[in-house]
This record gives sequence, structure tokens and C-alpha cells, in this order.
Amino acid sequence: MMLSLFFLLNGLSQSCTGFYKSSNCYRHESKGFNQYGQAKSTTIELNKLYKCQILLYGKKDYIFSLCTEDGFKPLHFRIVDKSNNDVIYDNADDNYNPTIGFSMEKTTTVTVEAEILVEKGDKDPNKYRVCLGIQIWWRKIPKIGFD
Amino acid sequence: MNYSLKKEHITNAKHIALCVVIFLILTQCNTGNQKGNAAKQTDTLLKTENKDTSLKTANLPILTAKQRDSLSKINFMLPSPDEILSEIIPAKTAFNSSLVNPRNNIDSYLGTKYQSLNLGVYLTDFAYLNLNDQKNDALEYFKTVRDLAQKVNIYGLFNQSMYDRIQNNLTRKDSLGEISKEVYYKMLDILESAKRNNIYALIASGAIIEALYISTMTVKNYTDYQKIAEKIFEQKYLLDNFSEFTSQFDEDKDVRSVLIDVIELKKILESSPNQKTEKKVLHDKKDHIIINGGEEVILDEATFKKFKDNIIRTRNSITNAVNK
Repeated sequence: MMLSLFFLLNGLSQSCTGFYKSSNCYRHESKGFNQYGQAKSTTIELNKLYKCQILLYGKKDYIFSLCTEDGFKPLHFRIVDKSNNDVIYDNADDNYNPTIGFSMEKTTTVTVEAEILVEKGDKDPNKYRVCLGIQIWWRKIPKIGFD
Repeated sequence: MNYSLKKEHITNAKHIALCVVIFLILTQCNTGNQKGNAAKQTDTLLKTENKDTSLKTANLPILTAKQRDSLSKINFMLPSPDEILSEIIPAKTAFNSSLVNPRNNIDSYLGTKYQSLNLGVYLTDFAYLNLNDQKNDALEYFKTVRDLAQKVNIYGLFNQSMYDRIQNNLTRKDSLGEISKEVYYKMLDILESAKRNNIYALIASGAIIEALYISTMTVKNYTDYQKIAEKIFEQKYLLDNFSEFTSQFDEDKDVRSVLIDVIELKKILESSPNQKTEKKVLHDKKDHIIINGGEEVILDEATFKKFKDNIIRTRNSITNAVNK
């Protein structure tokens, strides 16, 4: 019973359902884009790497916006091409920018790696479980010029 | 949504939950969630009965403990049936009602394996009907999805409000598409949270196989439908991701048997010739990059025919399962 109580309370405190749709992840640049089904909300621990694998169809523009709850910064993320392990984008090289847009010519599988970085003495990593949102929007690459 | 506000609600909810649990302890309540227990029992039974002890005999690579551990640390996101169909089939392609699995087949699916696989099939059919504005049929297929979901003990999703939302949005194609996606992902979330990954893998298998079946059957004439064929060839990436995800649960006999079919389909698509160009990542403006190059599929009619024969056989083995 005590175990049930633990899981019940733990479960309640970790409800991150729909977090990726929250204002924390919203970007006005997404206007005119569609919501991608593979967007995700989850719970992560501080200083612990979260990995997910996403299929991105080709000939599309994408916007990735990663967000977490207020007060938990920086959120470090990388987008890695699964076919060759090349890093497509690392926000540590871009002042921990939470958003990146890209145009993808060919269908590609990418791995998104995300981690909330906390320095020693700042917050006790063991005490926190935080919502992470991976919001993804897409649109077909607009045609330019004549056919 | 205001998550700070939500935390206050959560604190209140914790107090309420605490009272409820204490009440349950005091009264030694035995009337727990019977549906949940039934689901647990069914899956426990499934895990015990379906544990495949003949791994060496099957034509599948056996994962090492290290590989299994590494895969378990990755969360695999898979496109919904709605997204797969929209990606492959152009919007103006004629609808073909004969492609969906007839609803009355539902009564012939008795075992968990075929109930789960065909739940995936019907989810894709629901998406296909929505995409083609077949509103009344879509509603009927939604009921079929609901009925089959209950048979595999998935509760908490098909409530009256969801049903009302569908009825209220029957005239809005985009809204129905969103609902279709929502149903699919919520169902998988429920199963993932309940650690019912074998059922998750079976439902997703049925959904993907049906999406590839409908797409492939749309190609009536290879010469005139090359764009669709090209998109189908590109689904090797989908099958690759999916087989990687599913391989974690290959100790389950049912999952393993479907995984063999999925890998066979993937191998056919991968056997098609392709042309690789070096990938280049260009930062063209602030917060935007362009990724050029990669693998270009070279269309091959013989490979397409082989894939078509195989997907028809695989799909029909799922939908024509009687009393299994």
C-alpha cells in the first residue's frame, strides 16, 4: 500500500502531458506551420541525458523548440543525424538558444539529446523531476519561382 | 497551460490522493481497478505464455544485453497513420473504400495478438477515411477502434467527450485529422505508461502495415504513380526505426513474429539501388539551417512489385486471421 501511495503521488507530481503545447515552448515563427505528431512531453531529471529518435520526412521545413519549466536553465540540446552521427545542431554553440528551424532535403532520422544543466551547489539534482517539451512544427518547403 | 497553477492543483490532488489511499488501507478495499487488474493479468499471462525460448531458430538477429540496454535509453517517436498516409498519398488521389478492413471482421479476432494488430489496422483505416472526407464511415470505424481497444483493456481514452468532439467536427477535415492523431498517440502513451510495450508494438505494427498496404494499393499502374512509389521506398527509414524500437520486445513471441515480417519488408525496400550525395549543413540565417544531400532512392519496378506482393500477404495475414 505504501508503495502504491508512493507511485500515486509521484505520478501526480510528474504529469507533463501536453507540456510541449504550453507557452514555454510556443514560438511565433511557427505561424503557418503544422503541428508534427512526433512532438513530445516527458519528465527528465537534472543533469541526466534524455534521448529520442525522430523521423523527419524530406522536402520540408521544420522548427524545433525545446522547453522546460521556469527556473531550470540552461537546457542543452543537440540534434544528431542518425545515419552518420554528425551533429546537425548544438545549442551550446549558440548561447543555449531553445529554437532552431531547418529545411530538410531528404528524409532523415535524427536523435534529439536534451539535458538540463545544473552546476554543483545550485540545485540538488536528486530533488527535481522536470517537464521537458519537444515541440516540432513542419510545413512543405514553399515553391520559389516557376515550375 | 499555467504549470505553476497546475502545481497548486497537484498539491491539492496529493492531499486528496493521500486521504483516498488511507481510506483504502483502513477498509482493506478489495475492489481495486478491475479493468486495470484484468489488463495486468492478461499481459502477465501474455508475457509468460509468449516468452519465446526458441530465439536461436528464428531468422532474426539476437540483441546483446548491451544493445538492449542502449535501445531502452532511447525514446522512439513514430509518425501516426495519418502522417504516414498524408506523406505518401497526394491529396487528390481517388478514395478506394475496398482497401479498408471491413468492420464486421472484428468478431473474428479473439486472441490478444490479432486484436492488437487489427486495432492498429482500424486506427489507420479511421485515419484514411478522415483524410478522404468519409465522415459517416469514419465515425463507425471510430466505434470499432473503441470496441477493439476495450477488448485489449485500453480504457480512459474513449469517453463521451471524445465521441462528442468527433461528432462536432465531422465537417472539419483538419480537426478530424488532429483527433485521429490524438487518439493514436494517447493510446500509445497509455500503453507505454502501463509498461504494456508488447501491446504497444503490436498496435503500432498493425497501423504501419495497414498504412503501407493502403499506400501501395493506391499505385494501380507503376509508370503513372512514380511519386507515390518513391515515397513508399522512403518508408525504409520508418521501418528501420520501427524495427529498432520493436526489437526491444522481441522476447514476446507475438511481437517477434510480426517483427520478422517488418524486417522482411524493410530488407526489400533497402535492396533498391540508391544514390548518395554528401550531406551538408549550411547556416543560412539566424536560427535556421539547411540540410542538403543524403540518400536518393532510385526507383526499381521489380523491387516495388516484390514489396507490393509482400505487403499484401502480410496485411492479409493480419486481417484474415480467424479465430486465432
